[in-house]
Amino acid sequence: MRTPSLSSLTLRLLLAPGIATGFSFLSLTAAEPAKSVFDQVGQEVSSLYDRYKESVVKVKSLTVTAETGLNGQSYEASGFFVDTQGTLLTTASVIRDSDSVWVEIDGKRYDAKIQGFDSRSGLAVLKIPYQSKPLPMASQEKLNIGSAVVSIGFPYNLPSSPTFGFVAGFDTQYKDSFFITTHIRANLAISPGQAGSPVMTPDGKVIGMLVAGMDDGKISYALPSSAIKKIREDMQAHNGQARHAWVGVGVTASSPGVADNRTVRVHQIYAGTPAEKSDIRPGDVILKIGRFEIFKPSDVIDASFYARVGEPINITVMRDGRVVESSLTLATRPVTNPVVEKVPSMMAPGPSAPDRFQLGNKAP
Amino acid sequence: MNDASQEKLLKLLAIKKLEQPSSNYFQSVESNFHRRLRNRPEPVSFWAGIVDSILGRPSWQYATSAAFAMIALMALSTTYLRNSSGPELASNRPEYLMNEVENMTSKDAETELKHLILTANMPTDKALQASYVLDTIPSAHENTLTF
Repeated sequence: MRTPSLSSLTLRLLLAPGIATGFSFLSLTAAEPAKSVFDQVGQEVSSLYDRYKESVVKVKSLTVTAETGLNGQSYEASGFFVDTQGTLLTTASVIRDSDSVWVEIDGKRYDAKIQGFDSRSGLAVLKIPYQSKPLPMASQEKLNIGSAVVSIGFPYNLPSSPTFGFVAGFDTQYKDSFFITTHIRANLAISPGQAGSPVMTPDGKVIGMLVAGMDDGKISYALPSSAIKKIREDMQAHNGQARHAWVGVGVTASSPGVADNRTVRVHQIYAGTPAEKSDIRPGDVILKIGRFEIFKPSDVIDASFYARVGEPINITVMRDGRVVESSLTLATRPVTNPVVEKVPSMMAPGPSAPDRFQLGNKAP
Repeated sequence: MNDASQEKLLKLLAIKKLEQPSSNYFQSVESNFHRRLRNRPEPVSFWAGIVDSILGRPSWQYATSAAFAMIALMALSTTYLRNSSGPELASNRPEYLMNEVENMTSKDAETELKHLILTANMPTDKALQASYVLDTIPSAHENTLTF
């Protein structure tokens, strides 16, 4: 019989406790019930909230008129930082015609400077003297229906809280109204005060900003990050103003469609617009706007929204069976355009006046 | 003052109410106060000097104190006599105040009553009411499609 050497014995003695511990760990792990998917989701949301809650702030404004008296009327919403210098994004609805805008962090007031305001997209950019922790932005293009999203915001006058949901759609229309660009529809449960909250992927990247909620807050709409990027670039180039492109064409859906079932027909040409000077005529079927192929009316929306004022654009139409191409320079969409309607906001008062509380009942 | 100026003043006053001092204000407020006291003695006018020289004498101080005490006694006695002339008619009090007073049973009734009286004339519609923002549809939409 071979006698084990000293080094072999020493090695066995050293390994034995480790192996024993490993077996006991494995047996314990096997005995412990696996965490449910709900626990895992809860942990993820909780972790995300802890990491990014400091980047989301409460935005307040005060409007003083003869009707409000000296106390004024205050509005509250949420916002989030996008750089380390105190720049934040929020909903334009909280700014409106206010006389004073500020951000509240841990009960302290920071007076805000309005760097940009665009009522058409609902985006406002503020800056406060504060060393902020920004949220990273990402493109929404990788999202699918069913992608998980998280939002952090301030419902009513409560502390900030996270909300978890899924992407439910990418819409250009709600009931009979067309949006100015494709919005992300998510089934995040939100409350008044959460407008301006970031909508994030589970890894904390902002893919949109909450701008509206309907159906008692069960459906929420977010302005996508690509639209935010476009508006911010406009604001930086034009002293805080967003410039929306304007050709001057009214379109309608035609039936049946022509040329690969394309259904967008020119309905109206507005006077004094680039369209009037071009070769576009009422009755033309639109095939292409810039690089965007047009098949249905909603295709026009993004083609128009992402176009830039002053840039040339080619518009291809079909007239009497032949293709006609027009080249024109985009003008600035008039602010007083009668077809753009400012929607009344749902302004829910605080818990002190529950009888006046209304939610989602003003949608057209 | 015209309407525009009045509205501007109204806005300024409203905004001023919500101002907050800078973060280091309270750290230096006491030292600043004492420094100002040391550096800028209160100026005494000619007439204030004369009044001080007369009233500063002990005899004048006693006389002034006695006169104030007499006036105070007279005022108290007049008030007591007027109040004790008969019970106050309950109908003279606002009904909502009476209901509240009758319902009070705790030892803190006096405190509550004071609070009630203090707030009774406050217009409730002027209280600062926050509105929490959430649009019911994205802020701009179009009923017809244009580009």
